[in-house]
Amino acid sequence: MKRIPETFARLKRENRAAFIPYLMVGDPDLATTERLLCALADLGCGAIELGLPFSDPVADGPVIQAAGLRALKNPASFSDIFAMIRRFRQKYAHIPLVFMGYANPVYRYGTEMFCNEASHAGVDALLLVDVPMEEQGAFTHPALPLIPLMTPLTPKDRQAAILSSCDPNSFVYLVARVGITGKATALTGTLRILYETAKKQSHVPVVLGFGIKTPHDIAHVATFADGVVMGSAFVNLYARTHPLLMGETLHPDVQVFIEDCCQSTYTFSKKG
Amino acid sequence: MVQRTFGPYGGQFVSELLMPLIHEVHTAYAQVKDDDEFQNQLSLLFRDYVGRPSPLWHAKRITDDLGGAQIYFKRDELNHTGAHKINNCLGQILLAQRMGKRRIIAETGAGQHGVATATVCALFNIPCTIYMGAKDVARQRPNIMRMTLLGAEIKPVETGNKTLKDAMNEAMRDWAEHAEDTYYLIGTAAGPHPYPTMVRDFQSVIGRELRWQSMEHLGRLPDHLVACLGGGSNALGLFHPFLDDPVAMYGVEAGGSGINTDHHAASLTMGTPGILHGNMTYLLQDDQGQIKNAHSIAAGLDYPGIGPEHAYLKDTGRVHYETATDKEALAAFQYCARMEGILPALEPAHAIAFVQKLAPTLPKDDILVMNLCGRGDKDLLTIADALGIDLS
Ligand SMILES: Cc1ncc(COP(=O)(O)O)c(C=O)c1O
Repeated sequence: MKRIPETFARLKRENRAAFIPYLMVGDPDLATTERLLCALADLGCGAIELGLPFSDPVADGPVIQAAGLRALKNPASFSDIFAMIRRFRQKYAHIPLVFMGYANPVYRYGTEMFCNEASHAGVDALLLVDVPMEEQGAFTHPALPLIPLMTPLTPKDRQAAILSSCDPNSFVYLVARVGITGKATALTGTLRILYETAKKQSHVPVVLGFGIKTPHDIAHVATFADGVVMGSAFVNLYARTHPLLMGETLHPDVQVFIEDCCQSTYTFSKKG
Repeated sequence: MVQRTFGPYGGQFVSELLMPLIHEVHTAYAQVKDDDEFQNQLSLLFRDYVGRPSPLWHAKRITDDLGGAQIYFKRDELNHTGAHKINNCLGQILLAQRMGKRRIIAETGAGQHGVATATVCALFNIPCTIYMGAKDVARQRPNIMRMTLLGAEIKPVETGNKTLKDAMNEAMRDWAEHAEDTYYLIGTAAGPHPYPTMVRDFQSVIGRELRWQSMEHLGRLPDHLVACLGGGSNALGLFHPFLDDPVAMYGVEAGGSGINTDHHAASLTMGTPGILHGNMTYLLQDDQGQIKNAHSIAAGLDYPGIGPEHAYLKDTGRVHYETATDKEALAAFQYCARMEGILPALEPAHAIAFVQKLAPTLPKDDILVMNLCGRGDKDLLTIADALGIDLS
């Protein structure tokens, strides 16, 4: 239940930001997802974001759309996904796992049942892209805290409302730029100011995502952020790498890339 | 007050990025809703640009042939641009202009909303980009030509089933990318609040006119109203001003190849509640909550969702929801052409197909009004194809 606050507290002590890769569950199948999850945990990722595929991902660009389509070719049921996560949890007790998806599959499954079962399997929080503050009531459940989104367009008073309503066992996801997933984000001083304005008012960790492409981007963001999410760039990499896994071992290209990403989260500048 | 939900349906299920934009649209609409200057401006455009009021036509030959209720057509197909869509577009472009927006985007299925949007954007000198499924681009070619000539940029959408749902996905992505200067001109009474209410209000000119026309020409209100359903805007526009009156209402969904097949667009009749494109409503979906592809010969009805107010009106039983198949619509198209000398669009041809079933069961002094919400010019290629007519 407390994996998120505990992990961010530990990383802070280590002067690190959390590197949070995003992958699409069941892309191209659940067995691959399971092995990929284990490899990412072994390599020291701070947390992992598990995308839940949806037929109409209106907030996503072509890379994540394509990942969702691959996953939906042979769709895994939520109970298969929960079973996979329970197996993962037997080996990896501490790394936070969060779901990111769209409202309808959760609503259709039954929000209450979904949250209970996901939490029981070992999922720590839920980000529903198309559930803003106004609609959170029906999706708020004690077993599985929501991850709210904030963007550069979110007005000040709304930011304050979002931050103060965030569950202490969750974190806030700050979208680094206007748009959909996939395109690169310019890492400017404005971005840092945006982040720090949000962070100042926050009692929970604030992670930054959207358009983060390289270990270099991560190193930059890690100098000021609690965590950094890499979505399309990581999906693109694992989807294009063949074979991605040999037994339990990641392809060396992917392994080295993830190691670089994790290494880039040390923020020596924050020390002391 | 602008109505936000309809029972459990409606709402604002969009990403946080779009919330400030949607609040901005809401605030702007709440201001103009009861503003005399805005409403007068709109009324003048309706009269002098659209050609409103649209006539109420007594379809005598069809009435005699069916042998039941007196059948009237509310002739919104005579509007400038050939469908009801222009009513909503003029309202929203006035709003976008007041909001100082410099770019318009829209989705379109049949291309009628795209043409109406391109038209008002030409009139108000605002650039526009229209998203249209590649399949619809192919089957509604005359409308592509019209939009191009009106100066719109058309973006064919190659994702999904390449129809209206996919065009709406792409328009929402565009909106997120261009959040700062762009106005999204949604073409039906669906999407996030305030769109379902706003579009309904703009289309309600249809029903308001019918009220006085009916009183003036027939001395009383109609007994039955019939309209086809895509997202539901022409139907709501007709129905809404009569919801508190003892008037029976029928919405006709696209039955495609038949509602017991996988090829139809009957979201209310065969769907279940869910969340898509900003609202909670009835959807065609599988048991894992993935949205299914719709199918209809009428591109404007080819959508797996429905406006949220219809979801509510279905649950309360106030409106009856029926279906007509592709085949029935094609037959009704030909019937209307030969009986009344009117080529309807394939969308209202679905309503005509249902009128053919309903009218004979009703007494001769009942008044039935059907919304003839679009003309068939755009569909000639599709119809020729379906009927095996060689146009070359
Ligand atoms: C002529 C016509 N009728 C009906 C529709 C369906 O839309 P709605 O249900 O919003 O009236 C369309 C949509 O493109 C149309 O072009």
